[in-house]
Order: sequence, then C-alpha cells, then structure tokens
Amino acid sequence: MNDFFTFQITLFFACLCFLQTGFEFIFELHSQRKVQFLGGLYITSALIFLSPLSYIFFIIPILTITSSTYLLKKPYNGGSDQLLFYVSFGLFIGRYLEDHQFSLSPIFLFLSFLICLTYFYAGWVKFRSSSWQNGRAFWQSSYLSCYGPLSPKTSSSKIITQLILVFELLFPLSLFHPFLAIIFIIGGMSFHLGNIYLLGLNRFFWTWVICYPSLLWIAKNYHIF
Amino acid sequence: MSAKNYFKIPFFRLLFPSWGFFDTTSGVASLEWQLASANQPHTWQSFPQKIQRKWFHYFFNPKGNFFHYWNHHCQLLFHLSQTLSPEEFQNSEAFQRIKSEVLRKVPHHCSHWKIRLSYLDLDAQKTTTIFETSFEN
Repeated sequence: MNDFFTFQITLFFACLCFLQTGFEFIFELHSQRKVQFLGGLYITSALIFLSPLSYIFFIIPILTITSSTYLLKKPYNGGSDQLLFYVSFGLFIGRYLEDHQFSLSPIFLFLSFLICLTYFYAGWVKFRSSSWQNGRAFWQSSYLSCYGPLSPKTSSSKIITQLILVFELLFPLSLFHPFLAIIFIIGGMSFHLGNIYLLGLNRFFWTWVICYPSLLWIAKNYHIF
Repeated sequence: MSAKNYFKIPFFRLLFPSWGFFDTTSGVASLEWQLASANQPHTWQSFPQKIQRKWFHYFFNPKGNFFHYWNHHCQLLFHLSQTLSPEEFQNSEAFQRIKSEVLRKVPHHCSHWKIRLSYLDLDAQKTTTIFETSFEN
C-alpha cells in the first residue's frame, strides 16, 4: 500500500462519512431549513474529497463542521464531530503535502495518533470508573440508546465491558505491527458495529473508519517488531 | 465544562475533544410533554421518542441521530435545573431550544400543553420529577 493509494482510500472513506451525514440532515423528517443547508454543505464537502481540487478547497469540510456546531449550538454527535473536525484538518494538510509532492507520512502519523488517543483515552476513563469495572455501566449506558435500554445481565455485561476495556487500552499496540493493526481494526469495526446495534450511533463507525488506512500504513512502514 | 456555561462558551471550543465516552452514567434525564385540556385526559409523550431498530440504521439513521442530539439536550437541562433558579432555568437557551422543538409537535388547534423533566436514578431505579410547567399558545 503506497502513500498515494492510502491517502485516496482515506479520502474515499471521508467522502462516505460526509455523504452519510449530509443525507441524514437532508432527509431528517423534523429538519429545519438550516439543517438542510448543513446537509448540502456536507454533501459538497464529500464531493470535494473525491475531486482533484487544490488543498484550498479542503477548507470547506472544516468550515462545514464548524458551521454545523455553530448553527446547532453544539456538535451534532459530540465525539464523532470532534474527531471529524480534526480528521478534516489532517486531510487539508494532506492534500497540501500531496499537491506539493511532499511525503504524506506526517498525516498518516497524525491520523494514527488521533485514533489511538481516542480509544486509549476512552478506555482509561472507563478503567478508572468502578461502575465500568463491575459491568454495571454497560447496561446503564444503554439507557441513552435510541432503541431503549437493555435488560441488566451482570455476568455478560461484565465480560463485554472487560473486552471493551482491554481493546481500548491496548489499541495503541496496533502501531507496532501490521498484523496487530489488522486485528485491532477488525476489533474496532466490530466494536462500532456493536455500538450501532445497541445505541444507534452509526456516525461513529463512519468517522473512525477514515483513520484505519493511515494506521495500517504506519504499522506497515514504521513497525517496531 | 459546567452545564451553566455550555451555551455561553465560544462555539469552536465545543470542538475540543473530550472522548471520555459514557464516563458517567449514574442517572438519565428524560423529557415528556402532553396536551393539557380540562375536559380530556392526555398521556405524557416522551421527547425525543425512541425508535425501532432497522437493518439500514448501519448506513442511515437520521431519527436515531436526532434522538441523540435532543437527548443530550435533556441531560444538559437536568444539570441546569440543579444549578439555576426556576426563572433562570426557563430562560436558559437550552430550555428555550427544547421548548421550541417540542412546540413543533403540538397540534396548532391545541392552546395548552405541558412539559416535565424527570430523572431516573439508575442505581435506585427511582424516577423523580424535577421540573413541570404548562404553556399557553
């Protein structure tokens, strides 16, 4: 997987992520005019990622997310909007480096660092919480689900919580070997698909997937073992 | 970040990452509304409403994301209710935003309606009404 191909795959995933948000905004039944305007901005940003346009145009996706936060008074889906903002900034710099024929490795490193930080920090916060350690927080967090809460099953909640904790805390190890990267990417995708099933948080899947090609590239080219 | 200042801080600061997903889940706030007429009883309806799970939600789930957006507002409302006086609470931007969104669901011919904010303590499994008020269109 060379620099160019990895970056194009990353842009393709970013395009899918922005398209998904854009269409959700436009087709949202309760949407107001400003939400539909935001939907249009997201779709425009998605098309920019697929186009051969100069890096200057890559400011539009960054402005789209800031406009969304400004008009809706808060990020639409908290963490996924925050990561998408930083990813869009990374892709802006990435296109600049590509246009000027510099190495893209700083961008892959940046995106890999971001994704490792998100998983590790989320795991660290859970590790310090007693309700996460005993599994209670797993079914408690399901009360925030758009599908309704789960029934409390202490043993399975505890096992699932421990698996999530281990996965999140060990995720930075994926930087050290391509095989580990593939294992953790499969784990990450399963984790996010589970989140969609339980909580309906589909935007997290599409946002986090953008960083996976960079992680694989770093693991392949800078692996320690 | 305190709930009181949530809507006052510069918007770009909202993009600063926290990434402590679901770090505290000791209780959940929920908002309900009902039409209020003297001669006819009405049931409380939750806002935002929960949805049915569908296979295409992996790709397209606008109602689910709408739910998360407004549900987060409800959690903020609960925190505001703990720190502000009832007048300040009703004048807060978060309350006004959620009120105008609920108002969109109230039929035009209905002149009276109510809102109530409840808090479910997940450890004790006990629901408490935090705030209730009625409105006239």
